[in-house]
Amino acid sequence: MRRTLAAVLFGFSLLITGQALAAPAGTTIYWINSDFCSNSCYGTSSLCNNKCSAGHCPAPPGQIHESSSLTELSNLVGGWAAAEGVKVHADIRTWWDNNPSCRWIQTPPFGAPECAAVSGNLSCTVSSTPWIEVCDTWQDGPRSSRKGAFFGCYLGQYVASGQCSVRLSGPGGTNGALADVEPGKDVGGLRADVTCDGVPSDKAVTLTIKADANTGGHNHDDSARPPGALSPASGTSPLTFSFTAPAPAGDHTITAKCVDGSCGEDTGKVWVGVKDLAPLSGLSGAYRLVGDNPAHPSNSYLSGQASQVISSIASEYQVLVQLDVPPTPVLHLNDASLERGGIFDINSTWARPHAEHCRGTVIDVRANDAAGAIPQGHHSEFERIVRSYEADPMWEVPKDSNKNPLLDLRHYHVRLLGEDPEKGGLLCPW
Amino acid sequence: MPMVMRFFLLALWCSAWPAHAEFGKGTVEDPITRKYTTMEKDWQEGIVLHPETGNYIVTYKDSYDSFNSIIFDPATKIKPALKSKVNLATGGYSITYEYMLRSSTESRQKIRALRTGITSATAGRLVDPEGWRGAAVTNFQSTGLPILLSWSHRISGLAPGKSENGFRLESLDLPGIATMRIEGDAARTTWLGNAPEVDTPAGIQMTALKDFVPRLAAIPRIPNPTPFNVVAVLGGIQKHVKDDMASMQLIDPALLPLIDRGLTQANTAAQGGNTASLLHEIKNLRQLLKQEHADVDQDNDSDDDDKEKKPKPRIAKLAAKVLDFDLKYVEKRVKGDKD
Repeated sequence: MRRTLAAVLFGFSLLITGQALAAPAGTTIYWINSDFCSNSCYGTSSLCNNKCSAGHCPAPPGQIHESSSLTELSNLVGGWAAAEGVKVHADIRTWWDNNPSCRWIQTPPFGAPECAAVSGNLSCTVSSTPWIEVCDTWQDGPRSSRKGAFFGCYLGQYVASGQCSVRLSGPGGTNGALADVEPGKDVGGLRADVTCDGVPSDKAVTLTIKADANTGGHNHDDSARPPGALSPASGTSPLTFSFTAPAPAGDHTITAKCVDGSCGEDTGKVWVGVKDLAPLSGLSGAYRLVGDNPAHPSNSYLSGQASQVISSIASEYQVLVQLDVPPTPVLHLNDASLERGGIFDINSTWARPHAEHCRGTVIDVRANDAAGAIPQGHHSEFERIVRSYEADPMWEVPKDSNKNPLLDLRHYHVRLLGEDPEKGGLLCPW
Repeated sequence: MPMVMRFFLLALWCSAWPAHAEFGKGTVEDPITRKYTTMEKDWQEGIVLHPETGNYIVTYKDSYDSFNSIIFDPATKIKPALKSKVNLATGGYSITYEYMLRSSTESRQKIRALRTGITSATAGRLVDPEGWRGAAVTNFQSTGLPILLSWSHRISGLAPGKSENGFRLESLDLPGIATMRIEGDAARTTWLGNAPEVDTPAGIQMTALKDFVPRLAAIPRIPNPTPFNVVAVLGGIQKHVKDDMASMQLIDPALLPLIDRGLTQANTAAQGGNTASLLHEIKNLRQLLKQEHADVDQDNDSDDDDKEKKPKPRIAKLAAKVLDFDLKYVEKRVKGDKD
């Protein structure tokens, strides 16, 4: 039978209780009743034993059904499943590759007494239950101690004889990413593997990379956005490669294909950014956040330590000036870092200048003639407060496109964690 | 940054940026008039001392890809002297710390600030001399002691030839020794474009530059828990002696094991509840210190080392006085004497 099976469920020895869970409209449900235990095959080639015919794995006639409703799904995602240590895996392929010891399911104990005890319909949905396993409880310990339950929903495409697929994998990262990496740095351990009928192949693979639009705090996009680089960008499977992140943070999508077009394609994301940055709260009465714009709507991300420093400085400054007549405004805080750090391209050009605003450790404080600026008479007091926290108030004057100083835009560029590279986090790798 | 790392970075810089000039447009700040001139020329990144003014000329390429030669006035054109005085506060176990700051007539700047890290300060017990503002704030940096202590002059600073002695704070914690960083009233540097980034030739040299004059001081440094815990305090003293005083080279390597052994024996006695033995060990340690500095237990302002004394003391006088105070404090608490 050369057709695709989107999901197959298999199991034995289970007492099913629990209530029905409605499947989303339009969801295709595949289910197998208990009788399948007496059959010789579970439906995909990788799960078949030698009782299957070579190259493919026919589902037992009459025992794999499509349905628009099911009654036992809740058992798989809650109820007994959680109590038994059942895990739901979003990425079945990574799990499969990383758990070779779990391949025991290739030799299911057909005809075992447990199978006879299965009652009810064992079900899963393609869209909401990607994978469930209790491999450890089954495999470890004497048979008498087994929990006696194994259910799996295999969501991979059933591959008929002679067909190949390519799969990307990596060390793992945020939100299911293949990897995480800081802007301007390298990450290795990425792989593209081609298999044909489950057997590793040495087919030639080619890789491409692109930066995802409107990610990483950059709410602007154009063809000039640097995508980073893959090395090598092609080779034979298994292909191990690295990714060099560009200066702008954001999501980056890698696509892998076989050069001969025979194995479809696979995509995976790499998360590029600086970890653990958080937005400075705009609710504090001790300061006001300014400088955000449509291209960079969130310009006030800082590390935890840096946030504490600037919050303390702002509070002290507020106490100092609160009795001034006429009133002196609270600190007006301009650019810190974008939500994932990386280059802060104030001109939306994917390039400097905005030195050091890359790791959530510096912030600009208005100190010119604009509204809300620190008055000239308070500069020395402001510097005193900043220095008491061992931060550095750098008095900077930006330049225009002709490289002439713009005195109207002068400001304090505060290195909140000092200037020592070991603790300051000022290094921007570009 | 550790000194080794600074040398490493400097060596790296020297190898990575062989002396070469780059032609381009930039702005020069005149070392004398401080006026700006824009020009095109060959630029050599780095910092150079201007002998006439004692300032540094910092030449760097900014993030706009243009050059700047900016005047940096270091806060080190001062010759300060700092005296520490530590006493038990009246009617309790709290400790008062007082500092006398003097600026030599050879100073070329007023003294603007003094700073250090401490373990704790009693709220509301920070005293400022006239014209100064003290601060004891949380240290959010990832290194250093938990409280940042500083006094800054509100206007300009302590003039050359003058002295000030009203810097005072109170703490439950016992004294140890640390560097007090004293800063001159340097002119503010205007960084055109941006300040040199820390991985550039000028940035590396700027980072290596210490922009303060260090002086040793007695500061709250040995944690003193409430209720009093003699074992914890003795352990803190011993750690400070072995880790800090030794690394500051305040104790001769020949004397260090004697003090360390005495503190170990005192602590062992304390752990065993053997008060008599504990007091005996403290007495021995104090005698050891007195052999080095006869006036170690006297309430005078002098912590200058006796340069004429032969043989040379094996422990710096300030360290000896601090250690003697700590031992005397422990002795007093163990005896339960509140006087």
